[in-house]
Amino acid sequence: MKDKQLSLTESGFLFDHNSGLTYSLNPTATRIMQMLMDEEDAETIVQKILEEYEVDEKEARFDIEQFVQQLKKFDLL
Amino acid sequence: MKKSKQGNVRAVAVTGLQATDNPAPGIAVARSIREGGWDGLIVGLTYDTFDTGSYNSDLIDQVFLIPYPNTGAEATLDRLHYIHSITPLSAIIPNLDSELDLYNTIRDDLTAMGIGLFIPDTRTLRMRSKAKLAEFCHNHNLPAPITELVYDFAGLERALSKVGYPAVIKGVFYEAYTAYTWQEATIHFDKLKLRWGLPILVQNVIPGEEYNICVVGDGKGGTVGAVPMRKLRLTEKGKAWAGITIKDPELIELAKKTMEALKWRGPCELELMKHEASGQYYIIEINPRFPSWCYLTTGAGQNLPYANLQLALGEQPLELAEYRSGVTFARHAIDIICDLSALEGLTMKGQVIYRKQPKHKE
Repeated sequence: MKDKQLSLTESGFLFDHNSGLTYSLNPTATRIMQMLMDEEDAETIVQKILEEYEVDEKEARFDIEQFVQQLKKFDLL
Repeated sequence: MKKSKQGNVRAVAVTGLQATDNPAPGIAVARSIREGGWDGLIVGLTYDTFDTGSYNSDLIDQVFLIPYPNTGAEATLDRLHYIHSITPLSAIIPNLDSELDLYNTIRDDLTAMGIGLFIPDTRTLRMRSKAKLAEFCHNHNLPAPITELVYDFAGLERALSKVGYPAVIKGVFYEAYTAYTWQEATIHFDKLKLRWGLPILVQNVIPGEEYNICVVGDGKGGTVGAVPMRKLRLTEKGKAWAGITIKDPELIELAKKTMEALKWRGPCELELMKHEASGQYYIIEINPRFPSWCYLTTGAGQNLPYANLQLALGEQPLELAEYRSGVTFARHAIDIICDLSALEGLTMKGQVIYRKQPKHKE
C-alpha cells in the first residue's frame, strides 16, 4: 500500500496515479478503502465495520476479504 | 534579437493550425506559449485558407499562408523572407512531421535571419522513423515490439511465421491494421503498399493499455520535461479526446533513456503499450513533434511548449516544476465566428493581420 499512489474522494471515486485508471466504490467499499489507505490492520477494519454497519461478523469478514481480493486483482493493493 | 517594425515586439510563428477531428498541435502550442508568459505576437503559418486555427483571432495575432513542404525549400524560404519583412520572427515552431526535413534544410538560412528553431536534426529523425525504430530500440536496450520489414508476399509469410497471429501490419509512414489471418494480412499489405510504398512493417500485437508521453529533449541527451498521459476516450481514428496525466516513474525513466539515446532536440511524443500480463512497456512510436494534447502538460504544471520556445530563442528555460497527476483534458469543439475580412484576407492576399501589437499592448 505504501508504494501505491491512490486518491480516494468521499464520494468513492478512486484514482490510481500509476495506471491512470479510475474506479467507483460504494459507501462501504469507500470506508474500507479509506482504512486500508490509512494502513489499518485487518482486524481493526473488521471491528470498525461491525461498529458502523448493521452486519454480522461472518458476513463482514467474508465481504472484506472478497473486496481485498478484488483490489489485489486490480493491482490496487 | 531582431526588433519588429512595430516597436520592440517579438513574434513567434507556429504551424499546424488545423484543428478538426484529427487536430494538429499548433493551437495547443500557441495557447501554452501565451500562458507561459510570451508577450510578443503569435503568427500562424498555414497551408490552407480553411486551416481552422487561422480564425482563432483571440489567440493568433497574424496568419500567413505558406507553400506546402513538398513545393521545396526555395518557395518556403521566399515566403518566410516576405513574412519576416512584414513581421520579424524570432522563432518558428514547426508542428507537423512533414515539415521537419524542410526546416532542417533551411535551418542555416533561418539562423542568418535571426529566426530560432528547436527541432531534431535529420539524422535523429531517421533513427526514430518507423522503419528504424525497432533497430534503434534494440541497440539501446529499449523495449519495442518484434518488427520485421517486408517487401513482398514471401517476406510477409516469413515475418508472420516469426511474429505469429494476430499481427500488426503497418505502413512505412502512416496507418496500421491488425491481421488475424493470412488473407487479411495480404489485403492490408497491398493497401498500405499502394498508399505509402515499401517496406511494410509487421509487428507482434502487444495486448494492453496505450500510454503516451509528451517530452522535450535538450539536444545533449538531457530531458527538459516529460508528462505521461493515459487516453480515456478515443475518436474513430484512435485519437484521444479525453486523457489524464499519470505518475509512473518507469515511464519517466523510459522517456529520459530515450532522450539520452537519441540526444533528442526539441519536442516529441512517445507512444507506448503496457502489456496487460507482464506490465512491461513497449515503445510503439516516437512522433517528432508535440502531440495535439500538449496543452495538458501546461494544465498539469509543466508548460513544455513554452520551454521549447525558450530553447528556440536561445534562452535557458527555468527548471520545470513537477507536474500533477490526475489532471484531465476533454477535447471540446466550438464554432468560431469571424468577420468576412479574415476569409477575404486569406483568400485574396494569403494573409490576415488581426493586430500589429499583442493584445496587452494595444
